[in-house]
Amino acid sequence: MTPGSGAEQQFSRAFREEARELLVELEAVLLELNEHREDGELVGRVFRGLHTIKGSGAMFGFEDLATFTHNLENAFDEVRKGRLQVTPELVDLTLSALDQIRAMVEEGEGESAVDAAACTEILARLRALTGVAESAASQPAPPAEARPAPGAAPAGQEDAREQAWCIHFAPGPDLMRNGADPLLLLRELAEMGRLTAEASMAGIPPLEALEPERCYVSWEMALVTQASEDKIRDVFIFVEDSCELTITPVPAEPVAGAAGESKAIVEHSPEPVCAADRTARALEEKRRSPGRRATDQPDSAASLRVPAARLDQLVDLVGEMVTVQARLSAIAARSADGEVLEVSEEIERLTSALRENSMTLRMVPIRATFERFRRLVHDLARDLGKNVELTIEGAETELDKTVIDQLGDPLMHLIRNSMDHGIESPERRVAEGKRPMATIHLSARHSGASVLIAVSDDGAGIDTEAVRARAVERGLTTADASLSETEIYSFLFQPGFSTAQQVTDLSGRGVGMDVVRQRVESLRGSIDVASQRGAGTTVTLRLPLTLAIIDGLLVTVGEAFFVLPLASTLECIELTREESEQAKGKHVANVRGEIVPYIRLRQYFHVETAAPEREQIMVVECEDGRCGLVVDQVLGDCQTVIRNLGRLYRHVQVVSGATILGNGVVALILDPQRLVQEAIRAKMQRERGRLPGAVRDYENVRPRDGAAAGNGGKVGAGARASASR
Amino acid sequence: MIRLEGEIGIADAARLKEVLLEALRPGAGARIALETASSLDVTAVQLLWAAERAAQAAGVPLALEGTVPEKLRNPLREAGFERLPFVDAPEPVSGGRL
Repeated sequence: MTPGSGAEQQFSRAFREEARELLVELEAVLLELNEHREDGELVGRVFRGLHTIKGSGAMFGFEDLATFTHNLENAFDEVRKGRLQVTPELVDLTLSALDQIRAMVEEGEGESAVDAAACTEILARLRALTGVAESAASQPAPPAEARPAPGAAPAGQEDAREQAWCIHFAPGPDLMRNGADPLLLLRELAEMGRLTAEASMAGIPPLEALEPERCYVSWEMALVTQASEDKIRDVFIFVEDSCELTITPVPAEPVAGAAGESKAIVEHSPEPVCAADRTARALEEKRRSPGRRATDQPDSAASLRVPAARLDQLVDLVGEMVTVQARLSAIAARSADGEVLEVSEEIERLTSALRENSMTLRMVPIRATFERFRRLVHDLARDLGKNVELTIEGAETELDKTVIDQLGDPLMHLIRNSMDHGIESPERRVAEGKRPMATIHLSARHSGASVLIAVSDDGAGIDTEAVRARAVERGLTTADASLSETEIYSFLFQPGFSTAQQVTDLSGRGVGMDVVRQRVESLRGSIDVASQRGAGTTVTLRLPLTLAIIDGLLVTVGEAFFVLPLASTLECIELTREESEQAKGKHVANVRGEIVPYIRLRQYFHVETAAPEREQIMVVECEDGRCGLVVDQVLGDCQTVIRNLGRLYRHVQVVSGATILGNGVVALILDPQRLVQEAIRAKMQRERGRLPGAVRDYENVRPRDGAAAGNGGKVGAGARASASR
Repeated sequence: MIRLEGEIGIADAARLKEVLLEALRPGAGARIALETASSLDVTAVQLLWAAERAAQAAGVPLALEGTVPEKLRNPLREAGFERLPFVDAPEPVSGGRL
């Protein structure tokens, strides 16, 4: 009866997942600590994080990792006791140590290799910093948790006097199921001094009712030790949330001959009455109470880890379901059978709820992605000799996991670019009257069906003349071309484009921004650049909330079907032939006193059939303000599963995908934002006479005045100003 | 006869419970051999404890088979399970209480 290797693998996998999360969190806390070096709470969090990694690592057989981490933990214990200062060196050292720990975590997965030489060096430098000998790597790691390193400063220096403690420990029902072993915790306590324990079996139910994997036993213990209460509590750090724990000092009495006396303490302590159910209840209350510690692990009872692939599968299935349901609705609508119609409506309602539910399953906050860059900014700032702080806003903004997964690279390139090209050296900043400490600001916010993710810096801004000169040099434009800022900035995203005088390790090869563009486009997103010389640059990525399904409005133009995203559609107004004739060929409509320009999709898509007497203007909201899209008929709303058009059409930007309707017909999903931008771009090009005749007629398409201000007047205002007449 | 071998942990708990329940059917009974067990965790101790009480209440014979190695008893003693007869007895022998 030994645990199967399947279970062991499962535990290692769970450990790996947990360790990855903890490492990310540790990194963020460390960098925060670097900025607030006196913050004891942060030191405590680093210590507890290391302690947890060490403890669970040892428990799941990652012994090298446990031993290595133990040395780090010791260093932070010294900090906690005020015997060691937090210095940039310690932070850097710990960061490189975390890299090695990460490698150790991944090693079994056949990924990154551990750099043994680096580990040795880290330990040597740690030793030099703390003056504490490392715990010998050859010695087996402690079974679960802390054990003083051989040669560590004798505990006696700090708390020379022995103290007796009464410890009540009642594991929660899930403690063992979560992989913890109370006996190991007790053994660890025993190593701190003289321990007398008494197990209470009072909570064990009759055999039939006993849940075999639940822990019903609780303990009353007496411990005589030189260790502090913190140190005792640290033993339980890994399980503190899933157990009832009280540690009370026993009033000073002679504690010399402790063994016998500690037994007496146990006997005098109140009779253990800790029935397992009471513990469970107490834990439940503890969970509900708001005063949980900042380092709390996710509540295992309330959340569940599911492989992302399974969610993807679910979402795919829901997608298929939505398509089939649309067919059913279409058939039901044709049928005269009221009962069929009723069932079909019910299924429509349920499918809609199912779709929304399954979508939210994949929504995750962008926090982890953002926080990851603290390390990058820290390391780059050090390497470049610049002072940079990273500020984050809107980290709780949620996005589809598939979108978030692909955001890492583009954001990294944008940040590197800002750090290398945008932000000036501290000397230059001071000379220009700026704060020597530069800022990179990462922000995320929702905007309709999109999420706006911005990377801003307060650096030198983009030198448009240099960009233009480089573009002329590379034959991308002519020297006398009159270009808007937006057009100039768009050169930055061309492959191999760089204005850097020299290629550095970081950037200057002109690869990064091209990667950003490609990745963002593959996510059906767009990029907007705004920059002001001397004041900084903001690059905003507009990304769809999800890639799988959207709510849309089904419209027709002639025989063709199109879907407009519901989120960007504001209203629908009628356009009669008489009205359009009155406009004397200008494509503008008067919507309650506001002039709204429109695009005739019939012309745009070369639909040959004649327009009906009454057409519909779909008023959409886009970054450039309100615009109309003229269609023949609005058929109604539909849930749309987005299907990619395939490689052949990847350059067709005004169409974001296609969908199969209930009757089997393919409808193109339009991207109103792109449509409008495309129209503006074409119009401006034609005005400059560079594309005579080749452009279709969008004569009167233009955004309303001051449209840029509709975007907060901040991002991209400069870039778009030239788009207004 | 129920023989526990090697490290008995949480992964074995469900199976152990089944085996014990089987042994406690009216008219049944069993001997439990711990000689070949190298360690017992809390879940195993709980089950043995509950089984012993159930056996007494139902009058079903449930007893030890063979001795209980010190290596098994020591950690349990240190963890405060001294009230368990098979931990506490000076020299547990066949037929002794669990």
